Amino acid sequence: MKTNYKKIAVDGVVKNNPTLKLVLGTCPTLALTTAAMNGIYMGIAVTFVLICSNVLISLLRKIIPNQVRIPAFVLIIATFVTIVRLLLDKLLPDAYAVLGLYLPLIVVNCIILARAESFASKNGILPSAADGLFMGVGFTLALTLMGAVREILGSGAVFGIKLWSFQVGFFASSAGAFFTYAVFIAVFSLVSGVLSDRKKKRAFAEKSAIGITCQVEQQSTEVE
Amino acid sequence: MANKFFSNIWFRCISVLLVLAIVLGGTLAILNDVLYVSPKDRTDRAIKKIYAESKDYSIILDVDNDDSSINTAIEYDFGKINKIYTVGDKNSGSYDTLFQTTGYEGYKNGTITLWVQVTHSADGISINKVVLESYDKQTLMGKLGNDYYSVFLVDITDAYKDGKSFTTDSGNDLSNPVSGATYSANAGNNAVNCVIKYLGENNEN
Repeated sequence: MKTNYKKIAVDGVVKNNPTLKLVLGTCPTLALTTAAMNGIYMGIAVTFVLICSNVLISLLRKIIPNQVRIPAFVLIIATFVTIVRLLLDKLLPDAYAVLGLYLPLIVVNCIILARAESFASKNGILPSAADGLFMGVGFTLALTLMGAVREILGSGAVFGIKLWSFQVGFFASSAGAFFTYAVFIAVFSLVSGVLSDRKKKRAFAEKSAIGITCQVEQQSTEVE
Repeated sequence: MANKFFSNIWFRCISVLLVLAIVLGGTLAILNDVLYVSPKDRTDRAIKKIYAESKDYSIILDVDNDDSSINTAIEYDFGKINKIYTVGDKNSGSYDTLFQTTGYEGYKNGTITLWVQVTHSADGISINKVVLESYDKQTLMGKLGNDYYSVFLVDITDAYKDGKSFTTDSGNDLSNPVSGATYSANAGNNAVNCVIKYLGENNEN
């Protein structure tokens, strides 16, 4: 069966966006989005773990017995989280310092275990890698956008560059994180709902047009 | 009998988990060795961050050092000094002392850790650069911009003698208030005040 990579990409980034649609990985989303750069750092770390764990789980899916699949997945995910920690500490110390406690907590991030269980354990290596990549991209985009909004409103800056002195401290606080997240989910649901309705209406119109054409053709055949 | 044992599903489960743990554990052990960052590397990294180049330094205090004679932090009521390095030749009269200090009493009783570069010269003792190292529980750190750190860059030759310290009260000579993040600003001030107190107690100002 041919893999539909376009569908995997749309699913990961938009349709099943892990942060805004599936509401997974909420802990780092709320805690780390005080700045846009934090979102990028966390996104890169999660994407790396997602791709690597998906690939290895997909590779071993016929070897790992069903009874111990969850402990095996956690073992694999924990290994890649430790690798990403070591890599960040060595190569990107600033990112390592910013992510702090939330870096080892990636192990218990629902997005990774969910993708391992629902996708990687049932699909081939390449589709699993693509799923990890696009889920990671969706997560990164959501966190970066939320971080940018909170940074602009809470600190009057974006990516550390000062824009103006106007600041609303609420957006930099924990309550502001919940509020911004709620607004993002609401806007995302609204836009995806409108788009989905429009798509359904278009499909229905096309179906009706085909039906009418068929009826007309049938009637003309009967007349003949 | 033996054949039945080896084809048992539980034997297979335990074997798979065991092999996974050994292989992944081995990989991590190798990577841990390859990607290890030593305390010296961390110090070199911090010095490069402050001076934008590598510098020779001598250690006066380092809490991460294995030598027990120099690895005890200097504790004050309002903060502590974790690291002190001398950069440059002390005998030449012009040299730097680099401090890593942690200020207490921040937002939610959290802390702020700073690197403070102090320059000693014939003109006196002054703070030349203050760089943020890390912070704990300070959700409004974004409010402490460049303006906040630049206030610390002053002559502190007689600061201890004159009883001066950085505070968030606007009446003081060394005041550094930040509206909206007063507690965080207080922790940062306390971190720099550790340096003033240390230099004063050690008769360096």
